[in-house]
Amino acid sequence: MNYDVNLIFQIAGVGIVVAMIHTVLKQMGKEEIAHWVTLLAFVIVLYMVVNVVDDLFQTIRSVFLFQN
Amino acid sequence: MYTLKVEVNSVKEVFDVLPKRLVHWINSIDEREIQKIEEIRIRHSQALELDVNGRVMYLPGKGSQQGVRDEEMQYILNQLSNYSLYTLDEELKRGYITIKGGHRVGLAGKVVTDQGRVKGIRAVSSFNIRIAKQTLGVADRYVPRLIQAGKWKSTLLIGAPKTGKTTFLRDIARIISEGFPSERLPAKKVGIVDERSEIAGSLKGVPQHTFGPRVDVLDACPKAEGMMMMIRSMSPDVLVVDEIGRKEDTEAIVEAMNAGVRVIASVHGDDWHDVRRRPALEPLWEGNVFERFVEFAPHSKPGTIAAIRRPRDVTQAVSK
Amino acid sequence: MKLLGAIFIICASTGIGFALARNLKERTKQLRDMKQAITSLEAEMVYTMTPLAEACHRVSQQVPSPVSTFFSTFSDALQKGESSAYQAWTKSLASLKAHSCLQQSDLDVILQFGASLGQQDLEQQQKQVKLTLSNIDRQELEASEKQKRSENMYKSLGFLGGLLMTIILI
Repeated sequence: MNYDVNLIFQIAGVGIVVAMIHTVLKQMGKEEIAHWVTLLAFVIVLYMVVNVVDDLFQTIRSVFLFQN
Repeated sequence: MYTLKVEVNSVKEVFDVLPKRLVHWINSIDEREIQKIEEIRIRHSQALELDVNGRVMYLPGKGSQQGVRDEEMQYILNQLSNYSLYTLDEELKRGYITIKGGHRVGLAGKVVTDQGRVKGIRAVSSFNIRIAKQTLGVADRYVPRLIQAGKWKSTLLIGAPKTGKTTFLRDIARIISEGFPSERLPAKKVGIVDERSEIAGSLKGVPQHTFGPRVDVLDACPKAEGMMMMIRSMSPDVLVVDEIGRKEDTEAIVEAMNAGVRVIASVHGDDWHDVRRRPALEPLWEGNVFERFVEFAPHSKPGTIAAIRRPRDVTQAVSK
Repeated sequence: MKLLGAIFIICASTGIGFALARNLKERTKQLRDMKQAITSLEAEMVYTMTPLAEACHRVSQQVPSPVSTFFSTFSDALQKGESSAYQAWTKSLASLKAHSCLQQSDLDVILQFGASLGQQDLEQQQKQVKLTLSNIDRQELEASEKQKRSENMYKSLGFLGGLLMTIILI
């Protein structure tokens, strides 16, 4: 496991902030926008972890298909 | 020596309220004729009508298809009111507006009434601009006959409409307030009660005609009340009023006489006999209020004076 | 270095949030100023019968900017001689739009008032003033409601947005 611990913290930070934004927006009665913000944050986080997921799939492939 | 008659005519002041196109039309005629314009009539979608010295002219030409446009009518109204029609409530009720230079703009159009009383004119379809002409010096020649021992006599000007009464009245007011050196008359305080805004042609209370230094004007004030106000507040030596004829007017004049104020007034009528028959003016004869009667000749050039009478002549004439 | 950048971003977005919040507050205030201005204009018109140009000049001295600028521009335009009061009104309103926080719906109300300005007699004018005042009242109510709801939201959103951006960028 040589992955950057920073990434985890980053994702956690985004999660916290987006949760706060969601709450604020919801309180002001703009739930629609709140949902969109959450969705957007999800996509951004997904983009951040895409490399890691790619790595995961590569590893699985190399384990089961004995490639490399 | 009598001063020369000077005609003060400032037709150019009217141009300020007219749209450029109409000014251009008027400027196309001869300069000397422009100076003689007496009336400018503007009617919606009609040609411009000028009354030049009694002669009628149409601009841009007779039978022309070009008329005054809707927006030009609106422009004139805007200019007349300074973009503030609401300031003209009173004027619209009376049907005319006095503008800079003392010119009078008469209005016609859709009248709005409130319980049978005229509230004002809304959609204006005609303007009639009467150019104010002040002829200085018309009364100069007659001054010696209107005074006695260095004092002005109460005078009644009698004449049919358009015979020059008001012009004469205006000039008298000027002479009184300026003084008349050749008869050694000092300048006196003059109070003008100008119910129809015609003597002084006031704009915002300031007379637009040339008067001397000692003139006070009550503009658009009912005559009877105005005379009493003047006597109480301004202590004039001479009161000048236009077109007397109602009972209250005569009462106020008698009151003024009792207060020691001389009155110079004008009245509609052909001559002395005509005026004498009016019941409303009755108190004036009983008290011998007026000491001079100036009769204006009808059917001749405005300002022609037929006779100046004294009460003595008049009573003789009546007893005959 | 990274820390400095992060601070910059957070400050900037917080600033934006505060600016938006201020806009809301200003709108309410300007509507109130406009209401006051029209009320004094009415007083000038009805009680002293002052012509429009002069009345607006006086009004412009009684209210704070940018409403005062609007009225003085209008007054100047009239004195210079515009073809109609409405045209001068429209022009001044365009400049007001650029310098104020008023929204289109507010400007529409004011524009509608200008359409009849100086074209009617006192009574009509008074009615028009009343109508406009009630319209502005409605706009003001809406604006103050919006302000109450959204003012804090804009402030916290600005800060949180900045925070989010720095986290993503780090």
